[in-house]
Amino acid sequence: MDTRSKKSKAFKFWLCFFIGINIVGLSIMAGLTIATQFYAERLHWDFKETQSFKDNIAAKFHTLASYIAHDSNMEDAAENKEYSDPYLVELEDEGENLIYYAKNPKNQKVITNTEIDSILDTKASISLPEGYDFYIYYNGEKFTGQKDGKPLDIYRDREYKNSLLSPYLESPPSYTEQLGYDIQGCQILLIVKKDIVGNPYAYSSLYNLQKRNNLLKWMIIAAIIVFTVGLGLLVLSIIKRKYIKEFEHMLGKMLGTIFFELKMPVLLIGSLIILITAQQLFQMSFRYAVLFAVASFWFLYIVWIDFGTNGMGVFTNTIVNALIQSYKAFEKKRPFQKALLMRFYTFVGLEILLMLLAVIFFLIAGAKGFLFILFTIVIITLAVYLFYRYVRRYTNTIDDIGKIIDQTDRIRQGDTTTKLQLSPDADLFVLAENLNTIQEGIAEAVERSVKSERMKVELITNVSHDLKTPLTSIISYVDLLKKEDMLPDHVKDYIRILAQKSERLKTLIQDIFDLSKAVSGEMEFEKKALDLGKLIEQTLADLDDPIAQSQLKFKINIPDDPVPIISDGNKLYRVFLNLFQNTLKYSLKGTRVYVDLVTNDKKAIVTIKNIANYEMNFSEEEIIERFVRGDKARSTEGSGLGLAIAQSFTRACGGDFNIKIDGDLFKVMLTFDIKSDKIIEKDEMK
Amino acid sequence: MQTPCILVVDDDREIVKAISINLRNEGYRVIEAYDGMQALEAISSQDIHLILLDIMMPKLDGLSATMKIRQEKNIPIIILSAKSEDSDKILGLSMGADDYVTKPFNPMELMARVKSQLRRYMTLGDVNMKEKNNKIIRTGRLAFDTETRTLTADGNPVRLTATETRIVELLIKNMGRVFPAEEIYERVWGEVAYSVENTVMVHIRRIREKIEINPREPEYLKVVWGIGYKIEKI
Repeated sequence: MDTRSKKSKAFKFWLCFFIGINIVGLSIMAGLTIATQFYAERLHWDFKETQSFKDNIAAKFHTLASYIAHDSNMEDAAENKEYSDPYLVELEDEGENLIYYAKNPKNQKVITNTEIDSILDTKASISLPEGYDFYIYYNGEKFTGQKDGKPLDIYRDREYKNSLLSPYLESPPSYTEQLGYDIQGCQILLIVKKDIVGNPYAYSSLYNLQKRNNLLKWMIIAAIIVFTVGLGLLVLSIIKRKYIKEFEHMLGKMLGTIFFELKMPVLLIGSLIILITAQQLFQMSFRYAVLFAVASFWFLYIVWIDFGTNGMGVFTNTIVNALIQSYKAFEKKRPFQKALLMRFYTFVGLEILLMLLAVIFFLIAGAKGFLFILFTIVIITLAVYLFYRYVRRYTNTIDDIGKIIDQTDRIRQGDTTTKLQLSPDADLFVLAENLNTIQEGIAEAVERSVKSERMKVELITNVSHDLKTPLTSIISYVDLLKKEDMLPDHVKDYIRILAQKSERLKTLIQDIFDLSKAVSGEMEFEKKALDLGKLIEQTLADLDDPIAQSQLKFKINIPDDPVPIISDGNKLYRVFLNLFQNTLKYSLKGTRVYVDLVTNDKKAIVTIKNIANYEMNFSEEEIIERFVRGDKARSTEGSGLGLAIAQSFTRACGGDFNIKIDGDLFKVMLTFDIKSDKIIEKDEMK
Repeated sequence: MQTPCILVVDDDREIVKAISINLRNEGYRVIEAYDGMQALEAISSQDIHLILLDIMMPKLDGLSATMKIRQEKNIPIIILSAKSEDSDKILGLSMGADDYVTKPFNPMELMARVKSQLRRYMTLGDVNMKEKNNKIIRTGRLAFDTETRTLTADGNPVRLTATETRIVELLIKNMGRVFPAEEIYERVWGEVAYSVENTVMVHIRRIREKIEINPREPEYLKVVWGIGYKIEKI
């Protein structure tokens, strides 16, 4: 199902709902109105039961009665049916709908439109002619009647009692007084046709009354049908309320685009009308009340949908906000610094303009009164709102700057997972996004390098293991060879060389292994508080013999007070051992070697200076990073990794390692953080 | 006393052969095995006094073999491994090995360690049972008699000078504690210490040469760099 048909479906079902509610509401109104009328006029499904019929019959009886009771001019009228007395036109006009018969035995007056005298043959009952089902008969004393073959109780019927018939229903003396004549002993009969038909020659009142009654009947039926249809639609829409909801959502969205300034008067007027309606509901005419109720329902419905969909957005979607938004969109295309400047100028300009307007309106208000005061208030409100928006935006940007500073700090500390989330609307959004991208790049690079380092370490571990195993055999068998006595001297010399080189290979492998572990950060460190001065002294003491044998003079300057640092003693020993061994190896004979330990508040600096016994034709970086040894010939013992190990161990121990070459002066500087005595004491306690 | 029988286990046959030659030259009986399973079979069928065991071997590795052997026997085990990390050594020793030698090793040193372990296992084992007084302080292969003030290593007396004896006495009586050079000097020489690191270190080195199998990698008399000196409790 594509969206369009879904939309139209939603609309259709909502239309069902809309029409259903309207019909049900209005039909309730219409139905009630008709019903009231129906009741008021004693309308009845059966026409011959209605009040209008009974009144009509009563009037006709009254005409006949008064006609027959009076004496004058009766003969002529009776004889000449063609020209009936104007009195009787009323009866004649009914045509075949009505058969009447009246006889006054006192003056022998008979008046009828039928030849059939026989209907009055017997006193007891009246046989109705074919096609007639109603009669009302006064036999001189009493009323009898019949309808649809059932006798009528005229004396108890409310309508007959209230109609013109009422005087005749009472006992003789009282009604003669009222009427002025006496119909006692008279026979009066009225017969009404079963199916009342129209009289083409005259106006039949009975026929027209029946027509009106039928019309009302059909109206009620139609109202019921319409009501049923409406109810059906309503039920259908309730069943399919999913679509209704959808349409309501669409409607809400659409309503959301309307500015609050436009809605506000509608809301005010609407609420006012509802209030008045609610107050006056019972004093209003019924149909207006229902109309108002239905209208109020739709008004509340629209308001409800608007607030339900847009929430507080109803209030914020104002023309002012829309203008600010479009200004923002305009601003976004500008470079950052221009945009900020432009915003400032626009803000100041607008504020000045509004203030001027406010002053002008206020001055006019002095003369013209209330409306202009209202304008002034509106303008001042606008100016304050603008100021609030500007300040809020400004504060937000400052907040964002703070967040970005924090974020850069986090990135610097190696946090590569926490992302900076700024609102896409923010001034610094682009900056934040760029920062996030950079952070991702860093995370990726770090991950890649960590992975490759780990692989390198693994490789080196495996390689060094694989190298050590054959080397074990070499060393073992060289050793066995050494024990052979019978070998010639030159062979013993070869063996000596083999032994020497295999030993060197052994150190080399171990050094590569250590270095790679230190560089990749895989090395385990046992850091604890120690005295740097003492460590240097111990190392020098450890090298006492070689130092004594060398033709070098070591000038050592270490403070008497302990120099506390936190580090791994074994690793630092290795550092200084390497450095001093280098010094012993590469210093010019007869020169002095300076070992100084200087401290300031926070740092301990060790410098080792010596004069090289060769030309140092390389840079500071080269000597560490390459596989270089002091002299490029690489003839002496050692792996050539001494400085590299010293540097990486120092760094891993938390120190700084620098080399300076100045002509023949070779200078190594190590820097460590001094930890206060208290920390050391605490550590020792542990 | 019977000739001690040593089991050499390594998947590298040449290494086994070289070690065997050295051991036979020293007069020991040697049984060779090339993986952990063979080693376990040899142990169950023969009377063995010491095992030299490689770690990385097919079928059953050295550490698992050590654990299995330790469930039944108290034979000294020296692990031979190319793994030189401290953590590897600690793991091996905690599994029940008595010593840990990293490859490539010096054959002379290996022989010395074999001798040391054998002497402790075959002779000192009984001696230990006999002397039950508190006058003797022991750590690993060292024993110091506080009454006679003599030190023995693997049961052999160590000849120490008077100063050396005093240093050893101080350190071994406070085994595990680290002494700064100044304190050692003041307590041994009885003088105010000033710039004594060299003096103390010289003595320490000499003692090491007398008591350690490999003085370059001391096991007992250790320098705690940047703090002082101690004798390790083993």
